[in-house]
Amino acid sequence: MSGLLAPLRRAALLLAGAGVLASSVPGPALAQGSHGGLSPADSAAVAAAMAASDSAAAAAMRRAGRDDPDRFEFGVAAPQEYFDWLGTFAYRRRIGTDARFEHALHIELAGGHKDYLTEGAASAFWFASPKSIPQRNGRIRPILEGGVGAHLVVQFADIVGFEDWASHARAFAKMHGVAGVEADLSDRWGVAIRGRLTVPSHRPLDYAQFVLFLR
Amino acid sequence: MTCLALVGCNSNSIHARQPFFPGSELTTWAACGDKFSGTSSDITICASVYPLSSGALPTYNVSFSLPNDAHVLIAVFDGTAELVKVLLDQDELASPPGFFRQPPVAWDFKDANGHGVPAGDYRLYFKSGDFQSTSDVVVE
Repeated sequence: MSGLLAPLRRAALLLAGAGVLASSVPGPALAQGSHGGLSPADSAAVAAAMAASDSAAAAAMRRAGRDDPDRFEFGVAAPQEYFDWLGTFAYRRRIGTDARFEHALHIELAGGHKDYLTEGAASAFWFASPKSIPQRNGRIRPILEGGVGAHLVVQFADIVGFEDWASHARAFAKMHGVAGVEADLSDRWGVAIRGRLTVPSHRPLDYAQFVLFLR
Repeated sequence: MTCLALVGCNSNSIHARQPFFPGSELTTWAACGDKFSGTSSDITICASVYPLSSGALPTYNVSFSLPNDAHVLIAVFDGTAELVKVLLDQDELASPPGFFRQPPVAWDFKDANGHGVPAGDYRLYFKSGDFQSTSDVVVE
């Protein structure tokens, strides 16, 4: 899932692991090693230490928010329109940073059904988030970002009582602001609650969402 | 409002109900001027807007001829394909050849709760057995 930056991540983990190894390998192993080779027990200790150091380094880097450039999101959303709930699935990738903003590509599929109407939507967003947000790298951190989105919405209507249905596809281009909070549950899992403002829109605050994300 | 210059840019909300009617196949039923156009072998539908009685408001009047006794369902749907009102849902007798049902089935441009419908596009559905037909109506 780490995508294009996976080699860099592995290299970083190796470097971090080596650094931790130097200070975490048990003393006897170092002492025996200095006399020519490690015993099987020492090798196991070294392997365990390396694994532990890898895990610790990875966790630290994930907490720092710089390790995983992408993630998947599984969520539910309450739009301020006809539908009560929408199920969402998204892929999000950090695509770069500049002096003041971090940029992300966010691709989301959403679907919902209510009464006679069924909807499916595919959206692609580009978001910019200011790097100056307080607690940006905390385990619980605020979400504040803005950007543009392109949406393709397809709706299917069951013509109640008749053997017929109607369909309609429509494309939108919108500007969005997103605010909320997200928290890490573990090194790989986390949750986020956020609201989306949309312009132009009849109802600017049009989307409240809860997601479970997986790095 | 700021609007990006891309296809589909508009002020509608993304997850709002979208308009379905009129679709790519606009359909209308023939006017009820010729009451003897039906035959004994098929279902024929006609529709016209006129007041059913002197001094009454105009209504959208649907009539039909049936070759055999059959169940008939006629209903109105709004532009978002949501059911507005069922106009007829009952068994109907076969029409004598060349004659339409009298009186016609009238839609008074009100919903099932008796409220006048807003201006917009509407579609009437007619169904009897395997036969189904539609007519688009614009309420101004």
